[in-house]
Amino acid sequence: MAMRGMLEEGAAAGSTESAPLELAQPTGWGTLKGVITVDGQPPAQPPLVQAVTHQDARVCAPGGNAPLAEAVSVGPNGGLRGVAIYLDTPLPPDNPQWLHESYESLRGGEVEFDQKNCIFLSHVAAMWTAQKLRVLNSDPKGHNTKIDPRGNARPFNQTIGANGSTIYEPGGEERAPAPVSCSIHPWMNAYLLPRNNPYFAVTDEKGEFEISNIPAGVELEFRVWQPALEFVDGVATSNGDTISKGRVKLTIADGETREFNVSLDAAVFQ
Amino acid sequence: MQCLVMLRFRTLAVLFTMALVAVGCDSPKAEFHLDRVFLHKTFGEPESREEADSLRNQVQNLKEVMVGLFGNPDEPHVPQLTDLDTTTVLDVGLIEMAAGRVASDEAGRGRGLYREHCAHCHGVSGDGAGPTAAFLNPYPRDFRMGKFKFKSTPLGVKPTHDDLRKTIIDGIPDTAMPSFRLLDDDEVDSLVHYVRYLAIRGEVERRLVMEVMTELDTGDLILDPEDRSNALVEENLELVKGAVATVVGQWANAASQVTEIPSPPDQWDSHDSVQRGRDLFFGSVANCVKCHGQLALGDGETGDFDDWIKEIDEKDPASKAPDFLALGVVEPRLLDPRPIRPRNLRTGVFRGGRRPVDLYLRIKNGIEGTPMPAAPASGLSEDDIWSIVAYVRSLPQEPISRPEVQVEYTRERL
Repeated sequence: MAMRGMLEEGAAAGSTESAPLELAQPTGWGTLKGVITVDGQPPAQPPLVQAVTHQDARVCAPGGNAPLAEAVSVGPNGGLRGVAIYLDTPLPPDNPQWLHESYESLRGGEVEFDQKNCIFLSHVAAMWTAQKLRVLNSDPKGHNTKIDPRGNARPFNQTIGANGSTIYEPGGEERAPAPVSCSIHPWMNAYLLPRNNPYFAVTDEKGEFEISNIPAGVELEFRVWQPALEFVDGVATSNGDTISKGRVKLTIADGETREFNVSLDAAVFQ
Repeated sequence: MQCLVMLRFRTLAVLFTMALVAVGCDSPKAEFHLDRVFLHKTFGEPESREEADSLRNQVQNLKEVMVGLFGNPDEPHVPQLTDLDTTTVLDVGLIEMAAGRVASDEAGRGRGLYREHCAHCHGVSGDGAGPTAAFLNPYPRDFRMGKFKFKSTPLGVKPTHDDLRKTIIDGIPDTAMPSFRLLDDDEVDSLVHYVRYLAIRGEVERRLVMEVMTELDTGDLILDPEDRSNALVEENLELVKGAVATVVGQWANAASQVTEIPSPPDQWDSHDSVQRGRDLFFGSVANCVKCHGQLALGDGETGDFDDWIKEIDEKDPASKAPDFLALGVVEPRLLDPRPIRPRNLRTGVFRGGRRPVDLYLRIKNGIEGTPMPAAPASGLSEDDIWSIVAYVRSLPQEPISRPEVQVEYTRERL
């Protein structure tokens, strides 16, 4: 019963959020930017054929064209869209030393998460838990948006009328993006990452991202996540930083713009 | 010939006796299984022998941590938390009444109530995979995700004590879940505490699996009682206790988050209100028609799955289920991962209860773990919801062959 003894020793349990680590004080602010690319022939995006025969086909598959799955979405220059890069080290909450003033104006604001032609327009979206998510429906048909978090964010499943919208407040953060779906149109899927800090980005259609005003001079751990790979594993950035099980440790100097370019071998998607 | 048969019989008898002597008459000690579907889904296929070995060690350690926290089915244990009173959620006395083998004490009071009444369907671990589960449709509830369908609280909030009591006392119509009205009050309470214990145990396990996956380096153990020198011990101990506190806290807070049900307006079930309910049913705000179908027979969108089946795979569970079966995981949902059917509203049988307040709660809050969404926050008033309740309640009275409004079949063609 050594294990039981260890678990009950002091029984100091109780805090429902993991306590922030004792960190050194940041010395300023830096930037992390880069491009995530796929090297080689990426897999084709399979058509979501269910849309063509669905009762809402006129909206969901206009002209009889099925929408394409977006788990691996690669642009013309190999840029990989929809990779989430985010700070994972727990920060002291509401501490101006750790939260650059440029983020203050985002607090309480809304992030838009839209769907049109029965596809979520952001396949991977991220938000700060101090923000609200405005879930929009830009279709003339009703949708329901179902968010299934595994961590501390609230589950959500609401109907959203034609051209309507609603608000989602996560109330807690997720370690990895949570699946988002629509039960009326079961091929629809996307991911939402609510975080307790604003230091995150999702790559655009060119595979580019930038996170500015990151606390500098302190070693911080970031995560790299992609829908098909989940946590990106076993690759190095152009700077020689290794990403293992999605984790990468970085110390950015004050005023530095740290390059973070990753090239993924197309074979990893096979 | 006869002699040969006799001989064979005798040989068998001898072999059987030898086997009994070797194994002993006792059945194996009851233990909780880890959720192997979730484990495999989280960790994936190990790529090398070393990786497989280190993963096996981590999983074995996780199992020991779980036993340390929750004990085993014969000797349940309630984890201790300093700043949270666990007794309202996990009462040790009541849990012990439901745990263990079926027996009775000197006063004739039942013991082992869970194994007597529940385990054959819901399984000893609460995995919904007891011996009879595969023959049932719907499958018995798997408690380990901590999701329950029929409750008075919004999506994402746990059911209250009374919600679980109601399910046990009333049973669930149109399913294999019977009514346990004949049990004494304290026996029902004991089962509620035990179900909550299994759910909390399952949820903590899931959280710890995620912690191992996302926070630990390959091969690192969560807690190693042999190696106290490790600098990570304190950190990981906090992490384990934090997981327990979060889950127990969610259950403890359920009662304060019950949905307030406004009184229905006058004439809420009048002919006009039913008409209004019908318009809303077909309209693109409430959108009931999409899944429940033009005739409300539950034949609209029938290609989606509940969250327990989606755990196998979000989109195509049928093609992924054999991977798990090949690992030796035998669960009914893997043998036949069937889609979820929207309710046929014509039968007048509603699983969560047929009272107007039951239907109000299903429409207002949606149904946890299923595609059934909550009513939109705007665009549908409380009175509108009562009108939909009135319409749904009118449907079983309406002859299907002659619906009051002949609905034109409106499937769109390209």
